[in-house]
Amino acid sequence: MRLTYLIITLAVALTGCGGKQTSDNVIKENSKAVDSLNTIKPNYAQGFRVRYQDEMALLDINDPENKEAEQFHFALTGKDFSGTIPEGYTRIKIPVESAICMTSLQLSNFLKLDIPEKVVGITSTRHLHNEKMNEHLKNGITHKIGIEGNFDNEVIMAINPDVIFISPFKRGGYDAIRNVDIPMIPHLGYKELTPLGQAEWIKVIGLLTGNATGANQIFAGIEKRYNDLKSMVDSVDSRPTVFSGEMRGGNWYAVGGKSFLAQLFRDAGGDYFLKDNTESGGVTLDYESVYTNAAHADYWRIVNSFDGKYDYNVLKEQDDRYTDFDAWKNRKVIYCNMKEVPFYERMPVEPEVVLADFIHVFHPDILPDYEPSYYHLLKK
Amino acid sequence: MNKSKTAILMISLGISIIVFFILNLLLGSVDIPMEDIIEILSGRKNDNAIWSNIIIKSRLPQSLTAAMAGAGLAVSGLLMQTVFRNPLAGPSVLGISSGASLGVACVVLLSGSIGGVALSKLGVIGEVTITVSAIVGSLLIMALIAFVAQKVRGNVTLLIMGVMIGYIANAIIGVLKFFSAEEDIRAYVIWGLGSFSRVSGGQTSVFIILMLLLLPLSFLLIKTLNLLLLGDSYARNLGLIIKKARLLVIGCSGILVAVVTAYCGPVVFLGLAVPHICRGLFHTSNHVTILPASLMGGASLALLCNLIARMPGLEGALPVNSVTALVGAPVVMWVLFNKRKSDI
Repeated sequence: MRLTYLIITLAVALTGCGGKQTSDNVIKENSKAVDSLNTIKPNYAQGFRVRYQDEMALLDINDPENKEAEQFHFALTGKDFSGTIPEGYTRIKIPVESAICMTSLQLSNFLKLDIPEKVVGITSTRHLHNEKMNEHLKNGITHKIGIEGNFDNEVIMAINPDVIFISPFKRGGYDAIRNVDIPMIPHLGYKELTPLGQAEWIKVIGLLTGNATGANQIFAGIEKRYNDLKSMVDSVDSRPTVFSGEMRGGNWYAVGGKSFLAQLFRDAGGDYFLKDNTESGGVTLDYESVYTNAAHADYWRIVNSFDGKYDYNVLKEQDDRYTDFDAWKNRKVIYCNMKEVPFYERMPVEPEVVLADFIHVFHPDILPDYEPSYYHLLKK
Repeated sequence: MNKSKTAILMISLGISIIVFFILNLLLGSVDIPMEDIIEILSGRKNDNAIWSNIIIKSRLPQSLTAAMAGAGLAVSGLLMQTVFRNPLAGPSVLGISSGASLGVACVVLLSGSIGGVALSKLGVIGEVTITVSAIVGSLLIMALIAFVAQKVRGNVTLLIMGVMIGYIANAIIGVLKFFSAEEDIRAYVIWGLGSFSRVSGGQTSVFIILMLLLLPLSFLLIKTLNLLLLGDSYARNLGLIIKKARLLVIGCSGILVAVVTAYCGPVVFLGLAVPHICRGLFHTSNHVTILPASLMGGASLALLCNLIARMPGLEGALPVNSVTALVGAPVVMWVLFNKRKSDI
């Protein structure tokens, strides 16, 4: 009798425990599944769309500038999904645990989501500032896979990531990886025409890595701050003109009037010097057309990588003709040194900070005590 | 061809230089009225500071650079074709321009990889660093060629040696490129496209002075060149020390290429094409005629190419290298088709 009692008690206890554990797991699994399939919806980005059906998230990626161009389709499913994948879709099991990033823009999404450990391979480490990433590189958690166009396939196969993020319109070299049979997902954030659109790609990374909720929250914060700042300069009376770029090998490399940067200047209460230009990417101009358009522009924005102290003398030594610009004469050069600032790996997900930097320069009275992060006015 | 015809052709070459030069000043992506240009050039003060800056600081130096570079490359190409008695020889054949490219590649591409020493740190000014590295690179290769020239007898052997050295230089560049970051490769590629507008301000003056010193030197070689045309044994019988003469000619040609490449990047084709065009036009191989003709023809063609590269409506300038070949190649073919059999 006592034995029976003992057995029963034990059995009850065991089943009780077991039962509890199982239900916990189920809840956990469910919430994970719910989170990883948590809805994301682009409001600014033009390059991706997500539809939800039968426990799948269908991710369609297209060129934000040219919707007619080739599209890329991915069906995001849980690990043990057994349904059928729609035709033309590549199945990706989420959450993705490991990924290769081909560009700093892609990396910036991972860093902002604070999941650097999921990045197991990167291309360029030249301007890498992030401490964790550098540590991971040192410890071998993250690997260098070569440069775009010249990948080390063996390294990629050895890492065997869940996905590879690519920029298909750049230098290429992807055909070789195609054989490796790892899904390649184009990250077209760099083609987005608005800063918020570019930042919104963090949602795609969030969705894929099971951090959709976090990504949504992060983006909502960016969006709010960005729009708040933007509305502060909506009613400014004066809009300073600004030009951008430098001479390289006899040509002036700038970006077009419909570009991301032009939009940033507009949102910061300024006017880009190529206002009527309809290009969204880079444009090559000669000295005389830039000079005619920008000789009297108020500000000059320069981003480069310079070792040492960058000042007006350096500019003068680079090209004597720079001194003819009003912006040089009046000491109105807005400068960002990529050597000192983690420009590419953070800026894409901090458009509101860049915006504030510009507003601080263009309209100092609106943000008087602001401490700039990326761009500052060159003093001497 | 009689003397008067030669004179007429020479004069028309001279006129073409003047016409293209003026057109280079007149045309650009910004419209500037003729009267204003004349006013600016004559030194009178023009109200429009932007226009005068464009003319004085951009179009004028660029046109001068184009003319000088074209003349230098054409002369250099002619010297190479004569010394090697090979119609396919050109300034780039001995690997001297590859040497310049290697020098630039080392600075531009390696600067990023060695502990992040930026190109700019090497000399504050990127463009000057590039110029210096190009000159150092090409002179090193030239020294190597000169050394080889002392050791080998045959011209063909020397030519092949030069081509091989060029291959080695290009191979090293390839390796450097492979390990370089995207933006450095881009900087290098831009340099490699060639441009007459890269130099500005004080650098233009340095370039022009250098060319004005070097180009007349080549005229001292006319007699030697004519003797070389006769073939080695005839030349030797006429008292020419072949090895020394060869070294002089290659040296002169090499320095010209080195300087032009340093300031304008590796501008191809002009050096190969212009001597052919001139030989076709003047129906002679006598260097008394061909050398000045090549010099002027080179200047003229380079100005024309520069004009086309900056065609109004294009905004940014086309790469000079594409234009030189696009314009030059049909001209060479046309000249060769019209060439009389006896001249070949």
